[in-house]
Amino acid sequence: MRWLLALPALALLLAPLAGIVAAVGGTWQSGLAAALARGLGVAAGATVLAVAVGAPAVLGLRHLPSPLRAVVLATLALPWIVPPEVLALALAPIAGFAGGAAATILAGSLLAVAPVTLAGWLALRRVGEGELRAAASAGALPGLILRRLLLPRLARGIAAGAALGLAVAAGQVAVPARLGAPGSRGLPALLPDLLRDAGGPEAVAGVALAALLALLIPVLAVVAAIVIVRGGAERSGLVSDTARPR
Amino acid sequence: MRSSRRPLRGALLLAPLLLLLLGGLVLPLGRFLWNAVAERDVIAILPRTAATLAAWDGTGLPEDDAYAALAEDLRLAPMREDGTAAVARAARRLAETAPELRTALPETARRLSATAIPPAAALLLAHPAWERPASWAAIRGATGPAASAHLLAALDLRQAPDGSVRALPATEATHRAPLLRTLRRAGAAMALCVLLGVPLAALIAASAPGIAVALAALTLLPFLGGEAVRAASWWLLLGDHRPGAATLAAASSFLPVLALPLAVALRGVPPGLRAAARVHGASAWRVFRRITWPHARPALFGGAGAVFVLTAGESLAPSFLSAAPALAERIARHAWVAGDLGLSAASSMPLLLILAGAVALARLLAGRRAG
Repeated sequence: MRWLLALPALALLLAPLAGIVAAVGGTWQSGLAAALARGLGVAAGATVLAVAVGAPAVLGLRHLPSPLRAVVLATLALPWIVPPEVLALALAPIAGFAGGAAATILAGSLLAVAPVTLAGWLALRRVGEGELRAAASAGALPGLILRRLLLPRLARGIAAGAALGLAVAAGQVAVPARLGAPGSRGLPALLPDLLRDAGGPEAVAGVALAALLALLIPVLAVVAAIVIVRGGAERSGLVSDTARPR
Repeated sequence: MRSSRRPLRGALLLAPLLLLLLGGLVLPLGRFLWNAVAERDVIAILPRTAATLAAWDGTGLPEDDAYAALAEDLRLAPMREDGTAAVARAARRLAETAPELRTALPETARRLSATAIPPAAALLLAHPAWERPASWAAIRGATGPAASAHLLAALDLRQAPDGSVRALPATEATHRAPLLRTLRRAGAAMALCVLLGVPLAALIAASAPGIAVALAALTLLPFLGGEAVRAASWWLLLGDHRPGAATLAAASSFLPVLALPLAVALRGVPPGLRAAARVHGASAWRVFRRITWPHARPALFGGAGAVFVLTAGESLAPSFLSAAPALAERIARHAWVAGDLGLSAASSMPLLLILAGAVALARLLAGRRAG
């Protein structure tokens, strides 16, 4: 019965993927692989920046009182509230003096920092008070507790968040399309041009191929996040109950 | 998790994140939005006129020195490097208050450069707009450091010379429709996500861990693909400009924003709690109201608010899938095609305020703070 009720949602999720797969074809263009690599490079830069600011922030959240922590976590949503076209306009002066790639990395990091920080914080929150007390009562100093208990959990959370952040940063369109030089755009930012020029069946098949390739990074990111989370759960003995919050 | 709290250490560790948000988002956004009220275009081309009109009391027509100043400003304008474009920008800004000046200003500038008669007569000969006090009031109103003309224009409103604000006639109103269309589409996508996301979340919550992870990954994929892949995939499926296609595309992409937190929340309900309540005689409705709903409420309202906000910010998918572009597309066109940053920023303001209001409302209805 549950499957039946969820069928419309599953159909809605599968329909666009089926649309791409059904139309895929066309001749391989070397430009697509180059655009994919360019987009991946920029997204990696954005993710590194997001991790560089997100990881210390997660540790900082531990020291804040709950209401202030809620405010900081809420500010992570700000870049997601601003429409991408408005973000591109806001970052245009930065692109003017630092270049379109720098503005794209900055925009990507603004989006990626939310999954990085939230995943890190959720991982850190799973460390129980009992574990911390047990470690302290066994004589472990705060530095040792941080290194042995908190950082390993934090690292897994951050890594899973970074995988999702990479996919989010790689999927940007408005900022690279508006601010990046034509030869420097990643694959998603090229898709609008391909769509506008998609006149014949060959071009339509080319659009499908490009869309399928652009999905490669999100697919790998989701797989990586699952592997990281499940690996962490296995090490902490939660393998049979990975999805249940504790 | 409790830990020894050191607020100063916490603040230092959070400083890079806050600096990124401040320097990469808040300040650039504030600078862009300032264009909505900043007055630069008219004062740049008519500095002498502005200085003269500062002493004008606004009744009747100004003194002859204002005519002389305007004639001098317009005579010198073509000698600027970007003279024609600067006059066009000033004319576009003045037209937000006095529509006649969109053509009157460039036309007067062109005619003045080819005449040698006294300024007042030359202006009156060049265009009848200069016989009307409203034209001069429009110039005076556009030469201060800030004004509300762009904001009013973005809402299809106009300030009359007497200071009253009036709605534009339907034939001239072009800005409110994209905003309303965008909000309608966001509302429809939100409703669709609630309708489809609740059963999906219930399925994920009740499934074995392996299946739940696979379903969650499938749900997440269209979202992570981004707006371009979303536009391309639905365009491939339905073709361009199909009614409802943009809403379906948004719902399919933003479904995880609602369904996944809801699934986690439902999975968080202790397994025996519902059964225990039923054993103690609670009806199905009471079990839902007292056990399931308090767990689901924050995720449901938070997720619905997020779907609304994300859909309202879209530009690319609606432009390929729908015959009527979204407001975000209009905002981009004002800036990148027409070069009108003022109107672009002013059009962004109501959208951002509505989105911030939607987030605040969702948090209020969710009734529980994160963290």
